[in-house]
Amino acid sequence: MAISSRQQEGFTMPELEYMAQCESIAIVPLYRMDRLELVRGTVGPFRPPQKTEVPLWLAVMLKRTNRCRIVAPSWLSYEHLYKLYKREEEPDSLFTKLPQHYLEIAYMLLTHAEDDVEDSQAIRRLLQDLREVRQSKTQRGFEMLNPTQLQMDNLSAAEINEIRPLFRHSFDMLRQLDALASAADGTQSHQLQQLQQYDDSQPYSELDDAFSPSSYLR
Amino acid sequence: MSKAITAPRYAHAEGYTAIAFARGGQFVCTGGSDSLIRVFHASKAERDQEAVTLEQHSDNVLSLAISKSKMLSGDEEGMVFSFDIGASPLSSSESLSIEPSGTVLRSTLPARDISISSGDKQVAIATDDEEVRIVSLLDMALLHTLAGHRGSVNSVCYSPDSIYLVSAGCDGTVRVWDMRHRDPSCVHIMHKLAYVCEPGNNMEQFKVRWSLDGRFIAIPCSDHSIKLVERGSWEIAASFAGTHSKMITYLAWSSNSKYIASVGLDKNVVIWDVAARKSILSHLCSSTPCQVEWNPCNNMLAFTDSTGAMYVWDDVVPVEQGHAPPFELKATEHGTLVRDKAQAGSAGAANELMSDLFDDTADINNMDSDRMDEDDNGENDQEDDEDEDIEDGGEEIVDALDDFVIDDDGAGYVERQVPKWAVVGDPQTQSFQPGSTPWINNRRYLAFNMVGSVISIAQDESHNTVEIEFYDKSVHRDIHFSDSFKFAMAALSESGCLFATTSREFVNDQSLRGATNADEVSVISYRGFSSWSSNSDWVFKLPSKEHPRCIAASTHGVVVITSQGFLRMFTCGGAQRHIQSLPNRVVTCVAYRDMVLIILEAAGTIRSNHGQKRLEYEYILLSMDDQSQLATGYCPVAPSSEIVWAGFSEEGHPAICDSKGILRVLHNYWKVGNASWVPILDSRKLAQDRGRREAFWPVAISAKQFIVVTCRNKKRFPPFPKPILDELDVEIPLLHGDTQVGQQEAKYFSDRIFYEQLCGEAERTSGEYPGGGSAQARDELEQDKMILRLVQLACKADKTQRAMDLALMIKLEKSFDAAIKIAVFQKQSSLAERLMRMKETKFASDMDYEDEDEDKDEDEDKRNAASNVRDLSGLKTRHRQPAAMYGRKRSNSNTTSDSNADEPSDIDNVEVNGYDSGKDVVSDGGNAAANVSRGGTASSRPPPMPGALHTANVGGSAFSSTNNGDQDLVVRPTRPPTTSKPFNPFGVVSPSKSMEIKRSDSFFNAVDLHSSKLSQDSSSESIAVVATSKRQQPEGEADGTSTEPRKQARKRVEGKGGSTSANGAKDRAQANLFSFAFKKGDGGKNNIDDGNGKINSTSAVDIGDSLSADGGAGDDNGMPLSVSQNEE
Repeated sequence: MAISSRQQEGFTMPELEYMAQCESIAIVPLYRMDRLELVRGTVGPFRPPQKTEVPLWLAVMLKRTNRCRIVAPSWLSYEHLYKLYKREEEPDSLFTKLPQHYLEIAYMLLTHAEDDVEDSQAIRRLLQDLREVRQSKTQRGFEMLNPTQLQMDNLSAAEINEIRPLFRHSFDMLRQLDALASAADGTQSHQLQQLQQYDDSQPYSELDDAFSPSSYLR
Repeated sequence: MSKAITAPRYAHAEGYTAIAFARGGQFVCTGGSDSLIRVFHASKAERDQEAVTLEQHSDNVLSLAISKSKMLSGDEEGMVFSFDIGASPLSSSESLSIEPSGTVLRSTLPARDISISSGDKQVAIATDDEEVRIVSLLDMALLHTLAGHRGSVNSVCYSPDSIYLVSAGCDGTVRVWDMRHRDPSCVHIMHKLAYVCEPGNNMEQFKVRWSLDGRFIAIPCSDHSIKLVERGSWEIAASFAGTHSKMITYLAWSSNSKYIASVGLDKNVVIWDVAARKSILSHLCSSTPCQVEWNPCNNMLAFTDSTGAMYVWDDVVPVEQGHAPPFELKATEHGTLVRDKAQAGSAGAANELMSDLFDDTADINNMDSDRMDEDDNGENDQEDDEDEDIEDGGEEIVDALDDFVIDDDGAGYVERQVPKWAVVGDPQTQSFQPGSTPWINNRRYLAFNMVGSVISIAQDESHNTVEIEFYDKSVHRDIHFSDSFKFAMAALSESGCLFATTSREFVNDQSLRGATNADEVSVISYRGFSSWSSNSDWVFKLPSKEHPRCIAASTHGVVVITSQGFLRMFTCGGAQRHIQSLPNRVVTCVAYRDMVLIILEAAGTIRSNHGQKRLEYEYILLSMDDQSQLATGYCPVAPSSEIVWAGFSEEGHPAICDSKGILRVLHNYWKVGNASWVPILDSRKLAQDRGRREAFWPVAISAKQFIVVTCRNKKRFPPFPKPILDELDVEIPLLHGDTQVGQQEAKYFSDRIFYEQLCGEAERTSGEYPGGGSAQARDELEQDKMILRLVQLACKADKTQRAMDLALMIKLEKSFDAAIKIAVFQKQSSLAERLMRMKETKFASDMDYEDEDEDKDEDEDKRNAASNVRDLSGLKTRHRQPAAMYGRKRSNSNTTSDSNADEPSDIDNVEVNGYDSGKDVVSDGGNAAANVSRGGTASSRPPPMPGALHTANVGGSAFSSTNNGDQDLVVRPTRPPTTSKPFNPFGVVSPSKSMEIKRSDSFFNAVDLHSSKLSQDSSSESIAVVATSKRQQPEGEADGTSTEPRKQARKRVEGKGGSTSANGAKDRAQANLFSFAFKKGDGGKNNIDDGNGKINSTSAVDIGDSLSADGGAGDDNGMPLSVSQNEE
């Protein structure tokens, strides 16, 4: 396999983008078309000017050939993002709710359908800000790293991907150390049991599965 | 005497300071030389609160003007900004919102004075120029430049009715302009009356002001007096002198026009009593006062001085000394009410917003509704009283007011101002095109529908550009052309676009400014989109006195309704097809295929000179093809609202939307004399529910959805470029719409309405139901499913009467069976019984009818038989019993003597039935199913509905085998399915057997795509089978395999029988029907009697099961449906 170890651990941005392409998005078709039978299901029929939900990749494809207008999702508006940004900025705030692939979707829409996104420049800036705020939050999360679990709700796919390599190794290492420590103590068997239980219930392979492409593709 | 003047409030830096009160008197705004505008609370209690500061200007603010919804401010560098005053300037501080809403004018010279016309339509601005500029507040377009002054103009003021404008120049000349005409003309000039002052000196300017009752203009004159010039005669009616010793720089009328306050360079603030023509009070200030204003709703005066301070003078007029208060008492009496209202209703404000929003074409409407809104708020009561004052005041004024024409922005509409209420005549009817907007930044939509949009772009004096944009780019490419006619309206259809110019009288179109008026000729022009014909465009010129009021186009032709009251109909190719006279009160018209919907103002419409109105509408629905009138009648709108949109749904439902956002469809228009308007959506409520301040601009209706443009940020009209359309689901305003029941009811109701419309339209045009018969059946079934859900909800809530009412709405017999089953499942046994009886009456007539022309295609049945026999389970066959009682009644009853009396007419069936019963004997012992089917084949054939087919097929095969004399051999193979599932018809009654019933859920999934009628037929047929077979089982000699479970069943029947034994004679007769089948076989006449009630109760259960079985079978087999022929 000609994939570097770094890549094996996470996804590359294009890979994530590829996964995000299965998210559905509303378009306004400009041409009348019948239903399209896709592997994933049927989409359409396309009857302008009525909105239709299609997978993102199809929307982008149609947009490129100027056969549709993409309806920007409601979260991709300046007002909404600004609200989220303000909330993120508050100290001790949790991660705000955003679609799992928000960065990828926003990136794709802003590249391919900029004319369909209102205030695209401002949104670009806001997204950048939002991402930075969230990034700094995840980084603060490192401090709380422990051998059992670390909860970060509403983290998007790209953000998880970003921290995955580091987290994975750190978790591994911490766990090993923890096991060693408790073994060294050798006193509290139930602790060990607990650990084993934990081992059984959450093997890392499963954790990895959660981030594997198959789950994205449903 | 002590004066209640507050301490100076240093609002601004030293310099000229402007002041203005909000219309409600709650706020006072000041603008000063620090280029700020500050908004203070006026009331005593809140006066010390912090002021709101607006930092829009970058130079000294010199002038302020406030109307109901706008504040305009002008500064020394010539910028005039407008601000939107929040929803209710009347209410408390929380709701105060003043938002910058744009630049009205950029001039190079200081904006000295600003006056807003009534209805916030236009604004007159005096700069240190020699011209007065009139700017439209709708689109900030410069409408007029009034030239004439020699010397810079320092003051302008509209008369309260906006007919006249008075302006004063630095050379002391006062001019009165008549604003009614397209080109406002100067009607009166008073030379050297006012001060001659030095242009550019802020402090030494003066203002002229129109009294708020419209009777006088107050002019500060060079002899330090204030002279009142009377409207109309333009004579000096009074002169107030003696108090001011230096130049009078500013004056203000109290809101009831009883007092004038003036300030002068002599630092005096003087209050004049107009009636007494003398000053009653004066106050010497420490520094030069700049401006003074009355609180419109209070005995309060506010003035500013050159130090930038603001003073408030409470209780100015000494009311206790017998002076009349400076405002209408009535207004304050209402005041409390007003405030309550204002506080109660941001909803009310939203309403206003909406009603404003939809006033797209009609200027006068805008004005009226604005005024009306004010009246609603009581804010404007004083104005009303003023009008009364005018009437009391003098004949000549009434005369003067009697027949003026408002034309405040060159729109050219006409309104006769008559005292009190009056019936509206022709010229007042304001017509509009659905989907058109006024000019916004030199662009406007002429048409906007589901085909596309037509945009007109103002280019220059000679031409506009028209763009036709389609949604579906595959059908047509966008069209752009240069439009030298300056089309004012357009109607877009799939096959072409009709354009028309019209008289300025009928349209609010600034781009027509300067057009010739006297001999203007209107043009209609059609642009066909069809590509095959070479020259599909055509143009007509109308006679010089005839102008289009509204136009409509569809695929079947185009319609032009003109000011002469003619409805002219053309084909798409331009052939003149029809002409018809209509009352000249047309509001709008739209076309869809061959239908034309024309909305007229009804004769009941009344309008007052205060702008209040009560609009009523009528509609006419015409057919273009044969020029017949399909429907006509009143066209309801919500109280004090007007129609803002009319159209057809994509399916052809005529629809209107009023300014309160209620969408209505014309239902039953296909039935002569039955048309009625059904409200299907309250879009404003929807917006409120969403909690957003948005307005919906209607575009179309399609497939139970209201297609709109959502306008946010207080915009009224769709923006450019063309926005994405939003779809609002239709939501019928039934009560308790937030509960599950309410939602289901509303959903059912809307489904039914649209279903009926599709059926009606198909029938009217003798076309096909869209999607064909299968779609129709599916839709019908969908509705029944919804009722069933409601039945279930009602049963759950123990509302048995309601459940029964609902069940009666069911269309398909099959669904009715399901309803019974639901009742049983919900342990509403009395309901189930009742429903059973209902079912007899409800479906009996259908059955009888169908019996006569039912037939069966034997061959096909046989073909199907082979494949279907396997599916024929006992369950399936046996459940058709009840229908047998009604459905088979006629044919079968002939053999039993007692029921012959009931059915004397069916003599021809006797023979057949005799034959059949012979068959029964042959195949007796559980194979009765086959026998009765034989009866069916002979007398009436069931159509090959899947479920029915099974039984019918059995019959068919039995018959053929009988002919061979080999019936036992052939029939037997069909038996196993009936016995394979032990059947317990009463299992469902006992709670423990509820599992069986649960399968009825499959009804929702499994039953699909059956033709409704067919399924009814078939179930009747198959039920007949069951009935007889069941009766035979208990006797059960022949077939040992199936008797055991049936005996059990029978025992239960007998247990249950008591409850239903009290059935009427009809039941008995029906029960007798069953007897005939086995009578010959076992001669067990006694069974008939005890079977009486039992059969009924059995069937109650059976049907439910048969239904699911039936549906399942239908789905499994996917049997082709066809109506078979009657053999006899």
